[in-house]
Amino acid sequence: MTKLLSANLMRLWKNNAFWGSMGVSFGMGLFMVVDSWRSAQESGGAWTSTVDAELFKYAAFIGILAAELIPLFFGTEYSDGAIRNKIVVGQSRLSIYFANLITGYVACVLCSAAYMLGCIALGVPLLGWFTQPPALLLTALAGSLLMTAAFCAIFTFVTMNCSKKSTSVVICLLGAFAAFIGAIVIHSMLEAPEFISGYELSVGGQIVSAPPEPNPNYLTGAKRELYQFIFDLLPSGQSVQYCSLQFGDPVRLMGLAAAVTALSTGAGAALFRRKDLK
Amino acid sequence: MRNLLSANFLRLRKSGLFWGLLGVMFTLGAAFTLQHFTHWLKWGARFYLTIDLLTYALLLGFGMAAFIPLFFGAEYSDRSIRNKLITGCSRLSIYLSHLITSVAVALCAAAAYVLPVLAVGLFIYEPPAIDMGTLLLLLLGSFALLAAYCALYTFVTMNCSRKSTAAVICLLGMLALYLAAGNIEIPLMHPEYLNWVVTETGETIPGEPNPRYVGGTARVVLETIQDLLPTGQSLQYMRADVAHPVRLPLYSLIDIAAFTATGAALFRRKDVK
Repeated sequence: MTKLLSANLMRLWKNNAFWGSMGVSFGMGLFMVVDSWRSAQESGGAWTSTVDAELFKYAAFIGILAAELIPLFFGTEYSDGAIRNKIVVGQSRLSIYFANLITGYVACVLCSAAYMLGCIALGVPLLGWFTQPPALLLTALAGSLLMTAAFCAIFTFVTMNCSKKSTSVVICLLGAFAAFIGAIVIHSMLEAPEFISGYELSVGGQIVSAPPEPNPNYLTGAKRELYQFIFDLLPSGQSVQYCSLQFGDPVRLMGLAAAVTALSTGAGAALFRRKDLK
Repeated sequence: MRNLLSANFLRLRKSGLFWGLLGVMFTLGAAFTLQHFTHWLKWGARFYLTIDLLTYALLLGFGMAAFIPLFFGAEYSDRSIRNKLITGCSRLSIYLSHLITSVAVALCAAAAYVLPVLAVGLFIYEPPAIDMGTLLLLLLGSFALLAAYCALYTFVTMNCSRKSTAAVICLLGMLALYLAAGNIEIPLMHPEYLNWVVTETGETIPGEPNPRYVGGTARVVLETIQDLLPTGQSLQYMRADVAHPVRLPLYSLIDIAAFTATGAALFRRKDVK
């Protein structure tokens, strides 16, 4: 396992896709800060931006990055016959699976760190020091790292059980897009107001608000709980929450992310053990 | 060229990927219509026919970004491109046959999407708020847009020997273009006036000017970029709210010509090993 990990990390160090992803992450960190600073300047002081607000926006794109990086990096092991060679020299399938999972996770954490580095390096001079309590920031950091682990576990599951690199790339990327769209749709459903107030125009031309009416789109009871559970369970749903630093119960989110990681890894490793590697 | 096309269509008929794409588009069309149907049953909500009719213009931007590299990228890994060249087919005819086949796939997928929308929608939707001539123009424009997407992805796929790399470039490129179009659209959405004042005579006159409104040359530039970007067009077709219905197909033709000319020129020089 140690040898597999060191071989993977060595290959990662020399991999162009990894360094490209690191560069994109760092660039995104800089871009987010500049964009936020520019918007604050344009608003003429109507609203201010802080570095904390930008720091966890990497959660929005780390899933897409992992969906591209993991199949490209590990899918090559199938096309090169490297997986078969590893088994021939006596490595167990389980250790190959875990070594790949850990390497993929390390790559994603390094990309997140590159984003944060860019964000802090430019954000602190432009937007000022952190304003949120350290406990909240540490909780968001721990939670978003667990969410990243869940993404990695899902994409490793797909990559290790799909012999065709291009197919696994497409499944992971389209799956990530679909998961994000699903999360945004559920979020908008959960955010729908309980009452909607209409407006009516009086004879004098003055706008008078009408009495509020119940919103038929407002989710209630078991249906609301179910949607909230799906939103918290999906790593993309957690992304939306960490991105805006507005998350309900962090322990629940972390527990669900850990459960997704464990289930994906368990199922993926079990399938990989039976896979015909030809 | 004819032989290449018939070979491509034969391969297409036996491709699980092609039938999968048609199945997904049909399911999405049915799902959107069903959602509106339930809203109609529950609350009596009425929708215009155009509400989801042209959504395929965006969905197929992503769908073809996955399909074209997977389907035609296999020709590099299987070395069938080299075999086609050995049998005397020109590079241009190979390139164009791929483009034509992919446009045919996109049109079939659009038809698969529209089928359930029309089948159920004609009974539950209100007639479109726009006249039939404009609707027809929008349909034709969206087909030109699909061809522009195909031209873009064929350009990438034919000049990238690695299937997986081509798939990543097409899918992430589509996402980047979509985000770019969304960001360009935000400043264009700001209204010119913050409010409208109703006078005592009942006349409505513009009130306070909106400082965030983008006007003049900046607006013309942003609108032109938005109309030139296939994703910018997709967003407009999706809403069936197109400011320049005649200009968009012309811009799509410019996109097709630019991508195809550049792609074919690069492919002619490519080392296919």
